[in-house]
Amino acid sequence: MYAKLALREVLERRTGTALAVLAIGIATASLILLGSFSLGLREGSAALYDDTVDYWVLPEGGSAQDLIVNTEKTMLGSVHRSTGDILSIPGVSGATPVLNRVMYASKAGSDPASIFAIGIIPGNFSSAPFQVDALTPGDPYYAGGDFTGEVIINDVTSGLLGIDSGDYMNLNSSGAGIVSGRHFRVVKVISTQEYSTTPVVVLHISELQELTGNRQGDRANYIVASGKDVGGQLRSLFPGDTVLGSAGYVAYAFEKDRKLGASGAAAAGVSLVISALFISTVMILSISERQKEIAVMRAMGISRGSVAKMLLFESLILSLLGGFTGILLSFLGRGLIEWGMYSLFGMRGVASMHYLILLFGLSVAVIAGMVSSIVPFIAAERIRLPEVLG
Amino acid sequence: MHLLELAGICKTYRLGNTEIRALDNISLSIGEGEFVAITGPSGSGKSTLMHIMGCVDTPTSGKQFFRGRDVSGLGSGAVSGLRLRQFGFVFQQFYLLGSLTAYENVELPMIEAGVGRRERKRRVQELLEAVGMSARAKHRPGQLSGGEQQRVAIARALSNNPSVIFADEPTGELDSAAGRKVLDLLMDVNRRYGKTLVIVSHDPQVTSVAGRVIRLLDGRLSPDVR
Repeated sequence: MYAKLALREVLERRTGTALAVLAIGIATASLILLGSFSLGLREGSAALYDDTVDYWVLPEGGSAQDLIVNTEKTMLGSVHRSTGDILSIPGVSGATPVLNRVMYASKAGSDPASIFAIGIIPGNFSSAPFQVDALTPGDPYYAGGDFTGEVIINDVTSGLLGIDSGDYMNLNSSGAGIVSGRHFRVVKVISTQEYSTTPVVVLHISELQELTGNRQGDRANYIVASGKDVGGQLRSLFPGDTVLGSAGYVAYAFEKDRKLGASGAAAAGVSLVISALFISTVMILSISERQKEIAVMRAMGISRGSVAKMLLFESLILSLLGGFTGILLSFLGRGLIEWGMYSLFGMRGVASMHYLILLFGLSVAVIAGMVSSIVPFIAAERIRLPEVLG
Repeated sequence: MHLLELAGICKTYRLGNTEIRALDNISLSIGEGEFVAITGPSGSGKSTLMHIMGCVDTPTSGKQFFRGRDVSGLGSGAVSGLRLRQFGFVFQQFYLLGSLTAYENVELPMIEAGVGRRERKRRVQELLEAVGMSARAKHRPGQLSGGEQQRVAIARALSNNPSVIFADEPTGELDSAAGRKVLDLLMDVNRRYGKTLVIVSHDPQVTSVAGRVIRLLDGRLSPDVR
């Protein structure tokens, strides 16, 4: 009966209910979208991580953040020679310089789209995150040979550009010069659906250096290496640079997760407060309008607990309606943002919706409902029966 | 043993620096099955007295007893239970819950009292039948006339088979015909079911039919008590 009473009260307060539901919906949708972007970022960067990478050599002043966010400000130079030096260290089983850039790619006659390009030396590093054995081993162009024009793309890029294995694509560092850009042949399409929704292309590092102007100085963002207990030798080889071992990387990953977690917690907190404020406000307004009704219920002998139950039901109904509205709004928002990102930057998969994020958003709304029922209950408790009943 | 007993009840309010004495040393007792009308001019303390008798309000001093038991110091839960099971209330402005039907309004106190579904259904139907409202059981208060709403309120007051019905100006918002019907119904409740009836009213119709009239003047019992 109290649930029925609560439902009818909520449905009959149309304007108040609509405003509260919309506000909770917006707060929930914001939380879900933020979570989705965080997840999208994680998935996007997942293409770069691999458990078998033991060491990361970053330029002086560089930080672990540079592993995913490529910058022009600090880069390693003479990376082919440095990689050769690393490979000569006993115990090192593989090493490759890595150059990351956002590039413009297109199929002939199509509009360019932004994709994430990774330049490496295939064959030098057997456990690279991408299975790159389809690329010609080594770096023939750097060694004075021909430009291979070989690329491996993931299925996201394949879908984005409408190309498949054996097709050709243009690649350039700016969208304007795409037509005059280099032509590349797709030698393999790999699936990254399990860990990345970012469009990715992998190619020989020297060819990416050529496209991005990093050939002079032979520059790359960092070097990855695999091997056991070679940290000391790597550090002596790169005295002025940063060498991150697995522990450093784990610390970095932990820190990154913590930052994501902190962002999520902050967003959840804000969402919780906004939702709770709106629910409380609507409920307090409703209680001030229904003072007589509540006073009569109490006079009839309806217990405090039952009044609290009724108010809790009302708050929960509002929060559930708001939470589900938030889920709908987040899908709408994600669609709009994806459309905007694709239209402006040619990027897709920037937000990743996961049912756990949706569930989290809904849970935060429900918790807000439970928390906010306390305030109207206090307001209801303050009603002086003799004064209200006259 | 009296059903209700008040001993030296005082009630004072503070209005700024002024102390207002709403009830001044009221002592009275009401027996089982009595029909008592409380009357007096506006501001004489009638409603305050009824609220204290019905445990809706607490006295500033004095003792009150229900069936010989001191209820002055009972906690909120116990007082709620007493109101739920022993007292029924009828208000001048009916105060039915607007989002519930007539049926549900009568059923609500029974749900609170933990009456089973089947028993609830039987009793709600019986009570609505008794007040002549069974045909309008599914109507909400907004769809009922004032007289009809008051009849539903009487059925609601009777829902947990209380010992006492407290009615505050039950005919005050009704025209004379509807008022007469409501009064007849309350008298019927008193006579047929033996319920104690305490009515606060200005209505001469009420005082003329009451078995006992308590007159209040400036918070004190007037000597002309019948």
